[in-house]
Amino acid sequence: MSIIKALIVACLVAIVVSLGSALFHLVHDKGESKKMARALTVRVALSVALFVLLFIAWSLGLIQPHGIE
Amino acid sequence: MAHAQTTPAPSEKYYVPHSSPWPIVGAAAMFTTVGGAAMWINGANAGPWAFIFGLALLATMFIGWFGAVIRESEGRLYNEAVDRSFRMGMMWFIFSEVMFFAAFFGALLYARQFSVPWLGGEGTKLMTKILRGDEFEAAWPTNGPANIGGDFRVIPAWGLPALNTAILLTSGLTITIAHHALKAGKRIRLNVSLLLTVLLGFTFVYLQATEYIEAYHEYNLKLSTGIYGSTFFMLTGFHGFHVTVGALMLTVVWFRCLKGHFTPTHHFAFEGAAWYWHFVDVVWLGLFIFVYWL
Repeated sequence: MSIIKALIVACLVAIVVSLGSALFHLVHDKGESKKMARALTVRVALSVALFVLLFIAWSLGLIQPHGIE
Repeated sequence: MAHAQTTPAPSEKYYVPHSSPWPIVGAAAMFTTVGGAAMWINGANAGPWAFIFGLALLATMFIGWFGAVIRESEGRLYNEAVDRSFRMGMMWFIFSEVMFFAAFFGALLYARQFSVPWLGGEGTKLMTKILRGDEFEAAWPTNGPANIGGDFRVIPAWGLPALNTAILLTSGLTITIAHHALKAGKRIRLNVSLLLTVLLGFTFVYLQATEYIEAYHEYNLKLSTGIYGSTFFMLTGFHGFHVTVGALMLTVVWFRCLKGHFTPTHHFAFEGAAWYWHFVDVVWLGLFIFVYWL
């Protein structure tokens, strides 16, 4: 696996972890703390970063989408 | 009295609701819906009507039951124990959802990483390829050695799929703004951001529908197009269904916000629906990456 693909997968894993952290705070904090909202903010920021990373990697020719010619 | 000492204070007890017709209505609705679908598949004339009636009954049950829960919640009839049970219920619901999508992502992974390479003669399966005697080379996307469904093309990643990704990401942003606004007690910002999220959600579903029409007519990419077509439509189709459900949940939450429901510390319905929305957004990101890119 190329470095760029590993980076994309690592980014996805980080997104899932932040989403999981938000679920933990949803179950345990009972609406009182801001931890869930913060974890979801991290999740959104990472997702936007991943989308930008994908676009940069594609425009630099490091990664190609699937296709049947 | 010893008995009085061991009895918990009323605020610590569960709220026990009055008898409700909704569980039996729900059971009848599901029986009618599934029975109608089974009759429909087997060509019975009453099938579609029973199916539609079942769905209508199901919708009635949802509106009636959730409406009762909302009224009880707003009537401050719920205490900490009930709140905890809602949160545990949410956790198990999400667990089942994760397992559901894990099965379909697992199917995609197995087909791509194992089945297709084996058909191409990889590893110990060289004899399989020789005995079959065709020219099939393992590559993805594919509809297998039998070319099931005929020649097809895949949807380009930088077309509608990328636009839909941007739409869902933006909706993730707006729901987060709404979440912080609710916590800070800024109601106008909450109402506007939530409305934007709902609109972006339904826009996604609309665009997904146009993509399906294009796939069927322009690309010959169908549910029946071998392993690629079936994994593509099962994953994106069930995801689209989840986005629709999430957008409906957020619509209800939006109307509740307009009516002044929820406080900065008491808003479980918002939290549940918002988390669910983030979840379907992350599933789409996984889809976009694994179906179109990796």
